[in-house]
Formats: sequence, structure tokens, C-alpha cells
Amino acid sequence: MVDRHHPGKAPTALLQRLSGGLCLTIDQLADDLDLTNRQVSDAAANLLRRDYLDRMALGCYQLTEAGEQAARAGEVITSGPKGTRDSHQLVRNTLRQRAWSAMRVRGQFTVPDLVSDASTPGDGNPADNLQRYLRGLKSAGYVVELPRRAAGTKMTSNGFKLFALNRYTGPKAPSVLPGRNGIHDFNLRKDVPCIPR
Amino acid sequence: MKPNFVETTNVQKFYAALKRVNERGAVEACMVVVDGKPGLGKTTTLSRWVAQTGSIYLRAQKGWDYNWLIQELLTELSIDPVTVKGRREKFARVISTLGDRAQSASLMGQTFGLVIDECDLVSNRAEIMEAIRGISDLRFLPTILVGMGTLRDNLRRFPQIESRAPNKVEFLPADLADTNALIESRCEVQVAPDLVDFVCRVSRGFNREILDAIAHIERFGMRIDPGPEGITLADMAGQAIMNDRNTGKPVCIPAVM
Repeated sequence: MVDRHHPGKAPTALLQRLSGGLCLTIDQLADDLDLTNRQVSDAAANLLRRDYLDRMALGCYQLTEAGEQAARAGEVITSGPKGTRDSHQLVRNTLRQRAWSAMRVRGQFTVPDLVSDASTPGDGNPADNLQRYLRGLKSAGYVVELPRRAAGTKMTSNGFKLFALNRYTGPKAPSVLPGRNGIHDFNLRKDVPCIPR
Repeated sequence: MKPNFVETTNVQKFYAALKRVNERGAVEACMVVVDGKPGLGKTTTLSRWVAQTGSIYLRAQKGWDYNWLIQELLTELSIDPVTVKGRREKFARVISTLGDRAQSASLMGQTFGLVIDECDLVSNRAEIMEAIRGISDLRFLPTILVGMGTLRDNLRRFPQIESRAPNKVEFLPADLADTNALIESRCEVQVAPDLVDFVCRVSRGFNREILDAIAHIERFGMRIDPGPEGITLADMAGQAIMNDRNTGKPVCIPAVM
């Protein structure tokens, strides 16, 4: 009887049962392995994700060539990672991520420009957030402050600081390290310290 | 000035073209050509769209060749080009990763696309344009080619690409309604219709000049107490309203209209 509580036992048993080019239905497999139909279906889904299985008809399975090789090699299916992660990692949809994309497109920008491009109705105080973010990026040399300013409109306003993207390392927005002098660059996968003044 | 994004007619045309791409009949017709003179809001529109959708943005360079394009794409997809060997393998990684990204975006109900800015610089180069077509075709990825004057003409040289880009969006100067929408949405002081009309005329519909005018109107309007209609043309008589894009000189409102 297959241990029903071990996450890898049922797929491993299924892999071995189907070896040799057999094509069996869920009912036959459930009888042979003493599993419920649901457990057979879940185990089959596990093998399908690994490209070890073909679904010949509804509820009828046969091993692929890769599956046959794995069965011959006596592979034990476990619940752990299946190797290195080749697929892309999702870029988080945050205000700072969107602002980083906008910086890339614009090249030169003010805080209001970034707010206009990156903010969504759910953002609390985007201007304040982005000002702090730009301060962090500037300290690490990723953004430089240009000598001229965009004209302000308020009385006695000194205008808006004009920034330029100085270092673009990739699409993932760097994050400002809390309490430390620097940023973490997810594209380079390392911390970048502040440039000493 | 309020940092609001205003959906002018040009922006609506751009969104409509993307909608047509999503609802297209021929799957390979997935290119959109965006062109127009500088200062009409192309960069602002694209910057907003790229930021909100997480799409891939590339800026074409004069010396681009096939390898450079693929390397830039790999970098934008967070893949170190050095770790992928060979042209074929690099192309395969680009295609598979773009497919994954498009699928993730569609699960979240978003459009994911590839934007190539300053496409005029490479639009007469068959090698680059065919590479873009190849990438776009394999994943039926919405591809937005952005340029100014020559892009549309150059594409006629490549019928196989031209046929994939039935959606063309030309950014045109803002009309009175667009000027009014821009001023109403971004200006922090109320502006009277006669001044809106004047701004529309002297700016010749260029967003850049309209925004310049809004800044001038705000600076003036904050200092006075405007009437119920807002700042009128008469209020600002003799004041500079914007700088002329050809001469760089300030454009002033005539003292006597």
C-alpha cells in the first residue's frame, strides 16, 4: 500500500506502475496502488508538470519518453524544488517599480512627472514616497540631480528638482536599504553603498 | 501644477489601437505604429503605459545590429546575456521569457507589450526590422513602434511588416477640447474660456507649450484674486504665457485685444 501522507510516494508509485509503455485508467491505477481516484489524479498532475506523463484520453495516462527514462533510472519524486529556476521572476507592481520604469523611459524627470506616470488611485502619498526613493537612488549614484530646475508655480517656489537616470542596471527597481547607507540592486543581486561626498 | 495624467484624444486613440490589437482577427497583425511631432505627448503617454503595464521598453540606437538588439532584450528581461551562449540559445530565451511575461500579464488582466522608441533610427534596416517582426510573430506580442516622421514611410519598404501594422496612431496637435481638458485637469487655478482659447491658438496644440502656459497662468493666478470665471485674457494682458518653440522668445498676451 502506498503511503498516502507522503507527498512524493504516490507520484513515484504511479511512475513505476506505468513504466513499460502501459496505458492505464484512473480506476485501474487506483485499484492497483490502493489509492483514491483523487490521489491518482493529483499524482498524475505532479508527473504532468514534470513532462513525464501524457494524457491519452480523459482519465487515461501513459508515460512520455522522459517519464520512461525517469522510471528506468528509479527516480524518486519528492516535494522539493525541481532544479534551478529558469523562468522569469515576477516584477512586483509597486509604486517604486512603476516609477523606475518611468525613469527609464523619460531619462530626465521631476517628481511630479514620476507621480503622473507611476501613481495609481490606491497610492497614499506618492510624491513623498518618490522623493525619499530618489534620495536613496541619488546617494548610490543611480540618479543625478541636474543643475537646473523645472519652473515651479507656487509663490516663492524654487521650482522642481530635475533628475536624470545615471545608471540603469536592469528592469527591477532597486530598493533603498532601511537604516543603512545604500541600496540593494536586484538586477546585480548585490548591495550598492552610498557614494562618499 | 497637479501631477495628473490627462487622457487626451491622442491617448484615447493609442488605447483604442491597443484594444484593436487585443481583439484582432489576424493573429499576426499585432504591431502598432505611433508617430507624431515632438511635444505632442508621445513620451508621456508611453511612459505612463510602460510604467503601468510593466511592458518592455527599448530605445533604438543608430548602431543597432541583431546581436545588440537581442542583448538589450535579454537585459530588459533580467537575463544576463553573458550566461546565455550562442545566437540560437539567446533567441530561444528571449522568446520563452517574453511568452512567460505575456502569460503572467494576461492572468492579471493586463496587456503586455514591447515598445521600441526612436524606431526611425532603425526603420530602414531590414536586419533589425525583420528581427522585431520575428520576435513579435512567434509570441503574437503587441509591439509598439514609436517614431517621428520617417517611420511610416520606411515601413512601406517592408510589406511583410507593414501588413502586420494596420493600427497606426498619429499624435496630432491638441484641439480646443483637449486644451481645455489639460488645463482643467492640471492647472491649480480656474481659467476662463477666452484664455483657454488663446492658449490653444498660440500653442498650436503642442502639449509641451500648453503645459508651459499652465505654469505661467498658475504663477500669475496665485498672486491675484480672480473673478468667478477664473483668470481671463484681460487679467493677463501684457504677461508672458509661453516660449515660442521656434525662436525661444516669450509669447506675450497683447495688452489690447
